[in-house]
Amino acid sequence: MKKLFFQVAMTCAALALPGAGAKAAEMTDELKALAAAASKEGRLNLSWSQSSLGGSQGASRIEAAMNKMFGSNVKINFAPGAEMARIANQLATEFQAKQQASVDVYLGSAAQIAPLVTFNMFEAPDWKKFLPERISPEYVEVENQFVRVVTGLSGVTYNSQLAPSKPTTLADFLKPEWKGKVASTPYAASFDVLVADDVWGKDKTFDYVTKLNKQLAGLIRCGDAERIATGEFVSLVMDCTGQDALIWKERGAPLAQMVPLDAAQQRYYYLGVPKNAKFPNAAKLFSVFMMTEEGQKIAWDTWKADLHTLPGSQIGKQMQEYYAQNVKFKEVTIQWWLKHPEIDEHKRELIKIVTTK
Amino acid sequence: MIRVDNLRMNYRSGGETVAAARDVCLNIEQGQFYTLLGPSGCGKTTTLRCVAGLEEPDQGEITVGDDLVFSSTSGAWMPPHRRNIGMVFQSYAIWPHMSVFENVAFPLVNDGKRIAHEEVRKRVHAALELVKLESYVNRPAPHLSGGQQQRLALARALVGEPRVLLLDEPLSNLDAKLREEMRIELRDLSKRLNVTTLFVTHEQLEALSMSDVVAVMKDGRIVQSGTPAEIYAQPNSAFVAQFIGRTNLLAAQVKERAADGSQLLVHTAMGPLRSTACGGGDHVVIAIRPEDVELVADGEAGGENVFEGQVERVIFLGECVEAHIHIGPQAFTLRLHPSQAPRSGERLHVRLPTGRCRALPAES
Amino acid sequence: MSATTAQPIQGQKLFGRLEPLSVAMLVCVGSVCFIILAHLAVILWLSVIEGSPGAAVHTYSWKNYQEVFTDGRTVDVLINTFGFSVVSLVVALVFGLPAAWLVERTDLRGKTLLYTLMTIGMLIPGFAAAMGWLFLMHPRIGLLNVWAKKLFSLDTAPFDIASVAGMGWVQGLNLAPLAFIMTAAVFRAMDPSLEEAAQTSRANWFRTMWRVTLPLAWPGIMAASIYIFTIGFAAFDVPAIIGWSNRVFTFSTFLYLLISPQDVLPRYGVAAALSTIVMALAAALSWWYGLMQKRSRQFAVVTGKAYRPRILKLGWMVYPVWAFLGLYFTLSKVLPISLLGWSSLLPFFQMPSAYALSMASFAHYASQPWDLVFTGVRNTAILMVLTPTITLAISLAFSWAVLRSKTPGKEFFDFVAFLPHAVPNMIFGVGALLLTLYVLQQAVPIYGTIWLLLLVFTISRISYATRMTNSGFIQIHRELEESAQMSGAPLVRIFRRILLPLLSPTLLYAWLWIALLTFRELTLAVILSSSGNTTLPVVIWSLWLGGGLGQASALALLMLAAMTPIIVVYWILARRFGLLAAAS
Repeated sequence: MKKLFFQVAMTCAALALPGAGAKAAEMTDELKALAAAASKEGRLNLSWSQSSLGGSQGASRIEAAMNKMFGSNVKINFAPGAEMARIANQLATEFQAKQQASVDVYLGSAAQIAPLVTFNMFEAPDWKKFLPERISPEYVEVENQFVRVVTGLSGVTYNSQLAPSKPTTLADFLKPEWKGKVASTPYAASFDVLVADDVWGKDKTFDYVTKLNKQLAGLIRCGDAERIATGEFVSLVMDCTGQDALIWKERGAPLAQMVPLDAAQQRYYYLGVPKNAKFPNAAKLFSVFMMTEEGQKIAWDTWKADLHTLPGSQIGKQMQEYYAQNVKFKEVTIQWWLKHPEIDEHKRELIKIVTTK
Repeated sequence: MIRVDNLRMNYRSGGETVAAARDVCLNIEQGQFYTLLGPSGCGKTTTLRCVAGLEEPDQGEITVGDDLVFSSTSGAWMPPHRRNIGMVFQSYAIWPHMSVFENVAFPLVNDGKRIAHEEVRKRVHAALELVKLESYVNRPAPHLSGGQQQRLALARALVGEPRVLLLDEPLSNLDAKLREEMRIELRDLSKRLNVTTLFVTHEQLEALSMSDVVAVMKDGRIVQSGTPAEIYAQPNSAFVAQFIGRTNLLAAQVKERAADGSQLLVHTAMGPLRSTACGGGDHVVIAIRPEDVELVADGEAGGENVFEGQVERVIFLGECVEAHIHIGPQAFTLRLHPSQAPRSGERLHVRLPTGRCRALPAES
Repeated sequence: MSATTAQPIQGQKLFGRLEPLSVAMLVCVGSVCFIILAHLAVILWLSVIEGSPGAAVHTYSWKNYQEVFTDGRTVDVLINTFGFSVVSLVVALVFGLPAAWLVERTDLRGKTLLYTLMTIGMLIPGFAAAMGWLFLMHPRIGLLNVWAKKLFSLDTAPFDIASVAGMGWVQGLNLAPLAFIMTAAVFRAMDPSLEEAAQTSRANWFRTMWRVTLPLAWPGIMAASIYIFTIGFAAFDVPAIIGWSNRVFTFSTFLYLLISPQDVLPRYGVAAALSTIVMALAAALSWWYGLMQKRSRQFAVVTGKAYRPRILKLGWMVYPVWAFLGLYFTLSKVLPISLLGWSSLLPFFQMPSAYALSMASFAHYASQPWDLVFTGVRNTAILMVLTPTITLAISLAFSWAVLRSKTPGKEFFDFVAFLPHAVPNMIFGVGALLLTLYVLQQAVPIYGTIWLLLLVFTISRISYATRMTNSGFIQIHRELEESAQMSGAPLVRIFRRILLPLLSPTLLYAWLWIALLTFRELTLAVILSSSGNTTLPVVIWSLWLGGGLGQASALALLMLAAMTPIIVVYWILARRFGLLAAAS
């Protein structure tokens, strides 16, 4: 009798508490089992750039929120990593050498993931079963191996104070007032999508980049947006995805992001769990958490990016504004990338162009 | 020519301060061959280097010729290259990247006055002739043997006709035969060129055979200076007596003093002894050289300064024999002509002539 | 007479005394050589395969080399690298050589201070100096340029740091301490009486230096120069930050491009092919270096004398001398540290202005990811202690084998020890990664751990350490060891009682230097990084990417402040124990 009373009381209390309690009650059976298995594993190895998802501090935040929401007990071991492609390469190398993966969750975009697909090295759980109200079928790609977590808009990061004119299209940067004020990346970031057959295509992209080359002053990495703020360069054509500009703007820097009206791209970032991960269940739990409302909020807070198709998405709001201006975004998914093998070869040529004075 | 007054020099070693030279005073006349003699660490090399200008003393004054080259009171300082000196180092310090000619020509080429090339050649050849190295003039310097390098160093030191020649143990790396030759050659050269020479060595044989004046140094001080004969025959302390040549040292206690103070009657472990007085208080050390001890016939046993001893061992040295004997508890060494050599175990009588016994202060 | 006559054992004749220690050292030397050659072999192998190293089947061809030779950028890159190396060498010598001469041949006081300042520079992360000079002399925003243009009403900026010469200037400032240490060692190895003989032969300080000191030191200085020149190939920070901003590529930044960070399956092949070419160049330089060293040894007459000739009494010249040294320290240390300090106070980097000042705060210092920082500190501390110790132990074995043993082919060991020096860390790291993952992992699971870093760091430092122990060994007269041998001392005792104490000044410098190089090693750590072995430079570097220059600078300054007292104490202790004096 006492026991029953207790259980009822607890359930009422749980139902009464917003957020965590409510979610706990809504957890599907699969999710509950996953949380239990993750707690048993107890740890999770993550590694990406310090600028993604808030790096180590973001990881702590996620750890606390995730454990609270799912009632799990997972400790995240975060190591600041290099670029996404490097980590992908590391995973591929480890997999081929039949060793354990050094990270349990991979965060990357289509450009980095497409080359990995042939290895068939990622787990393919039925993601929808974990969070059916949030994870739609189209969010999951390559037969369940990857789930979209945020949307990024590629474009140009520029210095709003020093810009000679407010740019709206890529063609603006070929104008004489921008000469010597433009930077690009040594890996031709974001031009890879443009060079695909069904976007700008080879000729148009090569033509543009060759002309841009004459405007170029130098090369910086995607993460060097701060150097745009100092005025060393006035714009980065193109950036990887526009989060940096928004993050720095929040810190007070005179940076702005421009989504080019003539070359808008939306790239997804995915999460995937390698087959040879050390803590696969914790990894899956993490990925599921990132799709929840709380997870998406943390993503926006730390990275200025969330999945635009989920309700309450900030990126979604931005994109609505662009839709209103009749901008057509090219959706860059893994499937799309796999259909365009010409990108790799052309990209090398593009890199040669920008790296030659 | 060289005058050193109250030279004081300390240096730091491993956190401690060591006094290398303490109040060293010396006066070397023009053309003199002056030797600083002493065991290692006595300060002789330090003094030489101060005269050369390679070290800066802490206190004192140094005058070379008419130049006050160092004074701690007036702050005077003349760097080595202007002191008009020539120096031979213990390691010779021959420049391996130059030929023999270039080594010797170096001082002439560096001189303030521009010497004509032909003149340089002449003087280099003259210097090499002096040391008998003319035939090696174009050899690379490292190709010379040790003895040749030493002579090369000498030629280099002399080519500039310095007023002072400084020699830092130049013979110590040579073999015995060469050393003997060079002793004579060096002295001859010094006299022939009439150059004031300051010579540093720990070899008393070199000091005695080459010098006009010998200054014996110990612990940074000059303890005695004089002609070789004076130093040898009249050492003023047990240290000097022992350092130069070989000496028998007998601890003794004064019993009587002669009226004029020139002689003492002392009591030694061997018995009573009459000795020449040379300073010291009630406790003295009697010094007598092994070669000054006389063998006497048994008939004279019981005479003054005659003792009986037993031969422990006899060592043959070529030109003499050395006999180690015991007189009572006292060990004693004699040097005798080989024809007088005793046999081991033999009993004999020896006389220590009073004039040859010197009663020196007992060292603490 | 003894009944039997001792016959020398064949092994003894060939290898000298066979003792446990000498065998152990030879085995050590042999295995390290093997490891180094294995790494280089991997790189060579990578250069002749097509496709991914991990694929099941490989095709072998010269395609990678063809690509390297037909790429128009290759020649430019090599020319740039050459120019960059030359300029940095010249700048390093301009500051380092006079400093070494002043310390070793004049009565300059304050040696401890000088050594401390020289080594503290190593605590400053590579990017700090580069960014500092960028902000000073960038053609558009550089402070000096802005002021000069205003002052002299110029149209174009007078200074441009983003050129080969500009990069060489910054790199040279970084390398001057190395030039200082190496040339000081050369001067110290010279017999002081050679210069004293010059002084007593009517030569003033200038003529002594010109006709005796420099000609005798020349081979040693050449050897040091070759060493420093080779660094230009591996240097990354300065060409990456300054060079890219003007699209001037040097070898290692070009390599970075080839192993593009956005390529999932990097084209190691082309990078490896390019590296092999440079390795051949490094081998040639290494051979030349060995020649110079041999020549230098002829002139290093060992005396065992414990003093140094004071050829020059500075007198009033002390002031211009310290002005010169002060200028160097201002340019090379004060500037980057000021940059770090300034940027650490701002939320985002700006040029000094009233507005910027209004935003200054210590927020970055409080907001460090302390967990990460402590992990990095812990790993770096472990590496800082272990790497120099192990490296020096190995290099002692190498130097002993090359200079003292009678092993046939011992020059080969020295040659191999020098090779990793010219191989850019990036490629070396890749080679190590592949070797460890594919070959070693079954037997020795060090992949992803700090031990892998230890292994690779050690191997990459052996070239520097062997230079130091070689020069140390040369200063010790053989007779000292031989007399110990005569009295029957085993090699262990000879090492313990004679060699190690006499080598201690050399070992002391080298230990600290390697520890500091380990402290700031970034490229290798990034390539080999994993959740288990994050080092402090990786943390600082990644903070720059994530939190911006401000947060990275704050951490770098904190580390600088923490390490500086340790270094000061180190040098004070060294001086107290008389270890700063010449080997005696």
